[in-house]
Amino acid sequence: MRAKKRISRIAYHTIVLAVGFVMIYPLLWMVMSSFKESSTIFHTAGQLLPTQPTLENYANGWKGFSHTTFATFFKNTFFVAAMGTVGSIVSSLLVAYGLSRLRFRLRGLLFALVLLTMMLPGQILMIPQYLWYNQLGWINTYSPLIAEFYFATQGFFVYLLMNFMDGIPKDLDEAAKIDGCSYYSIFSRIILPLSTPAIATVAIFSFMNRWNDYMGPLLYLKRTEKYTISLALKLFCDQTSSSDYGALFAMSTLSLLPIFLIFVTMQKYLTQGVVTSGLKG
Amino acid sequence: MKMKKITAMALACVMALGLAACGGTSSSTGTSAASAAPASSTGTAAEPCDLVVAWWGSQGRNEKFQSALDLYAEQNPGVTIESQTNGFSDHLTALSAAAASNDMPDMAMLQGAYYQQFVDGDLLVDLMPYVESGALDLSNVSESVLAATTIDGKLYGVCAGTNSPSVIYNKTLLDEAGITIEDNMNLDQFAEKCAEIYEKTGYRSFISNPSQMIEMLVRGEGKILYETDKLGVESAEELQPYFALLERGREEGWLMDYSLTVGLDATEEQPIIYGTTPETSSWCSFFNSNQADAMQQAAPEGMELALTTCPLDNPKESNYLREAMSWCIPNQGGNIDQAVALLNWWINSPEANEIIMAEPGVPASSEAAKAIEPNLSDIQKKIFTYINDVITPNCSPANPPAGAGSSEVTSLITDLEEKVYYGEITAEAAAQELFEEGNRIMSEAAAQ
Amino acid sequence: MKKERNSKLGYAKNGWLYKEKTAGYIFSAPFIFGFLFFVIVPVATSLYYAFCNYNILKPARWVGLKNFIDIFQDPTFYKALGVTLKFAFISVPLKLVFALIVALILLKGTKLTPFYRAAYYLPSILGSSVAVAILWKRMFAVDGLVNKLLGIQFAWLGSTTAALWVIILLAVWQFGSSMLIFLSAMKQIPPELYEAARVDGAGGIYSFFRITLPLLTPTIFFNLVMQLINGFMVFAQGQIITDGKPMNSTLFYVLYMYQQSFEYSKVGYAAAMGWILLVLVALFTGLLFKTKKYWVYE
Repeated sequence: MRAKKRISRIAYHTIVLAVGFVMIYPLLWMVMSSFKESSTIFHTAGQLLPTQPTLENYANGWKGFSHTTFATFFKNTFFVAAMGTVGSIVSSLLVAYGLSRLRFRLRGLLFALVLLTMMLPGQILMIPQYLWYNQLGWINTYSPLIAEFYFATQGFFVYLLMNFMDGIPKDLDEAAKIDGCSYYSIFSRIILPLSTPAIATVAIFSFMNRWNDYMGPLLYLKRTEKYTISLALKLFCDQTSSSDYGALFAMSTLSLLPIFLIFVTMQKYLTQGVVTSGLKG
Repeated sequence: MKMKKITAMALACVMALGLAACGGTSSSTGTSAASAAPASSTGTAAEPCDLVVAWWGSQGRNEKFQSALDLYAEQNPGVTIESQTNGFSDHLTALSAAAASNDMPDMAMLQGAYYQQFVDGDLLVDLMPYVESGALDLSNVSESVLAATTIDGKLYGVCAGTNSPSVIYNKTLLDEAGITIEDNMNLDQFAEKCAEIYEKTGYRSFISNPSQMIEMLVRGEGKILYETDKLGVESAEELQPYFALLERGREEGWLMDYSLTVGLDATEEQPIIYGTTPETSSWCSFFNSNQADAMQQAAPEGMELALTTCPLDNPKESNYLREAMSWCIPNQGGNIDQAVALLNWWINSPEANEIIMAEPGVPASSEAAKAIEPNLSDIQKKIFTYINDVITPNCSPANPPAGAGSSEVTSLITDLEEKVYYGEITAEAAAQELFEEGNRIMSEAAAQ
Repeated sequence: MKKERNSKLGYAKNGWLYKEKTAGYIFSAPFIFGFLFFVIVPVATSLYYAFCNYNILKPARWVGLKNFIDIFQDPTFYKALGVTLKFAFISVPLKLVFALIVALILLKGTKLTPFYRAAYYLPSILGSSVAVAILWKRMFAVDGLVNKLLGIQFAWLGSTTAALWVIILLAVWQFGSSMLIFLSAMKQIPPELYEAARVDGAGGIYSFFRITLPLLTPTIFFNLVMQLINGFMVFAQGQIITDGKPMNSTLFYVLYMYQQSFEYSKVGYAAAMGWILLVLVALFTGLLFKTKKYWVYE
């Protein structure tokens, strides 16, 4: 009986592990290939580990193109991601507090609109937004990639923070009111500090989304030196010679590294965000 | 603690409001520049300025152009140059978007149908006054080359390099198999050659560049494919020969398997270079002659490339020199004088041309061409010979720039080519669809 | 009533700025402004352009319903719509089924479970990146990893049938986040229910179909709706991996819209396509909600 149980346990772990390996194999393959000598990547595609690991691809890839190195692309991407994230956090917090705690006439309508922006797919707004930003003279600037996030247009973050704030006991507000706090100081002294876990979740998601964004930069950034990593990788793919896949994989690996680090260190908050987004509220 | 947070928030709000300002140059140019834009030039040549130069191309071209621009910036202290490079279609997208937001580069490479669009939109500077004033020296550029970029007596650009459609082929392979290629093959002879090569080597034929091929075949009949509001042919049959060549290749088995080429878009990924076994390789590639250089550089060691003419029944009528790929100066920038100075240097100076090394084709200036001739590589010599000795004596003037709608027809042609490759439709049906749809697109575009 | 209590409590500061109502509007101000400026304005202009002939370089010209008439006569439009529907209706159910199965397997907690969960979840974190799309393209190239492992030479991306499946596979590969959602929903099911079923002598399969699955249906429903909407919007992967080729077999709706607008400069046409997509998405969502009462346990 015990032996049977043990066998089934071993079988369980073997299968789960094997499937998991298959799942992450493509990523492993990319990382490992980035250390192979560029010309050997595809002859030795079937073999995971590089025979003679080299960092040459990283040096080659980092050079970028037209005098713009990947340092610039990373800097640009980081700027866009960080600015957008700050905006999302600040604006979503304010709006979430308003909608979750305060009673005013348009509250119901606004909440419905927040949900609507959650459902409204961004791609449908792609062209009209482009024309609109074009009129504002925002093409080839970072504004289209950042500005809207300062206005809580991402319904999901507002929704997530609202859900969280609804869980903070109202007694705290009442007690603060008795102490003479205004709504503004209740927000900054009670709700804000208590919302840290939810803020972390929003920060991670927002940062990841901005980091990976492809369509926005594709539409709005026209100069090589303003490109974000997504665009740089695409351009790399279009323009470099076939022998340079090593460099491409090297830069791809680097581009995924920040997200991977967030994943490793912040799994708890990530999980929280995913779960809130997917459970019916 | 509390203060700190409030300060942080206030800062964030300020940042949000200040965003429009941190956007950079375009927002400050704003919409007000739109009305003031045409033709007027401000600033003087000595003034330090920041020029933006835009082109499309591969890594090889980028490196050459960039080095040349670096040299110019070095020689002209105070001038800084920003480059804007993309793949071909992204380049056009970027330019038209920039045009709409008054943020066009100071100097840009344009060609063909797209050229006309920008002229129509009144977005390019007429260079004639600058030639007259001596700011732009075109004394070594021949009349015929200038004619290609002249519309209604106005000169909107200077040829970036002369090239011509060609068939680039793997000479090493054919030499080993004892097969010789002669210039000016007609469609039948070419098809027979393809069959022979397939039989002897197992290499297939990758026939592409459909829109230029069809344009040239129509030229062979003395007609112009793109007229203002329609296709310049009377019947679908006249559009059929190219598709028929593909169909024949498909039936006889020597046509490349198109599926092997999907997703491989770079010059260096053409099956002539990239293929690993005879089944996945092609012996030839249809490209403009200047591309042979980039392809030779990407080719594996020991593979020698050479050029021959495209298969055409009436080569003299069909062949032409492509001189419409040109450098233009958009009229939206505030640095038109400086841009003209750069263009002048680009066209005439030997040191610029020694760096560019005829990458986009034989230089427009005959002096510049002469200056670089001794330093040409083998393949570059072959390209020069092809242009000067094979095409120039045996060609007719290029078509006038194609009007609106031709870019959409081009993409229709590519779709149809793909369908014929896959055997989805017959050559006859493809020609029929091109005739009907193409005419519809052209007439609609003209009505716009 | 609330108001009454507030006034009874009183404030240190009594100005209008400190009224609950005012504070409410002040806090919501970013959203109100953002919604008007970044949603309503573009939506309104797009509605206008849908009835115009517009190519960015020249001013827009009113053409009435022409764009819509053209679209409904455009075979490529139907092709793109078909491809998109096929993608959404294959990839989403597959993804959810996978997510559900793996969630069930990982529900059993062992010491290694957090590690497994991370491994299965990782692809959906990195998956939306351009790097992964490029990786996918290279993996399925003729000389790529997949062919090497299978020992064949097949042009996955060049095959009119296989190319779409390559992209579907990429979508299904990212089932991790759905899996996490199912996992957490499963953990919320009261253990007493399973206890009771066990006492009644029910087996694992029985309790899955009788307890787990019905109680998960609201979560499944919500995910189905959200994922389908996202499925209709697929763009980046299509553009990077195949760019609609071969023979438009991976020409997704949004990709076609992008081409119309930015490659052929037919902005009005693309705007009209956007509105058609919006109506279609709304219709599908509405339809799904209609089916809700038949299978969602509430």
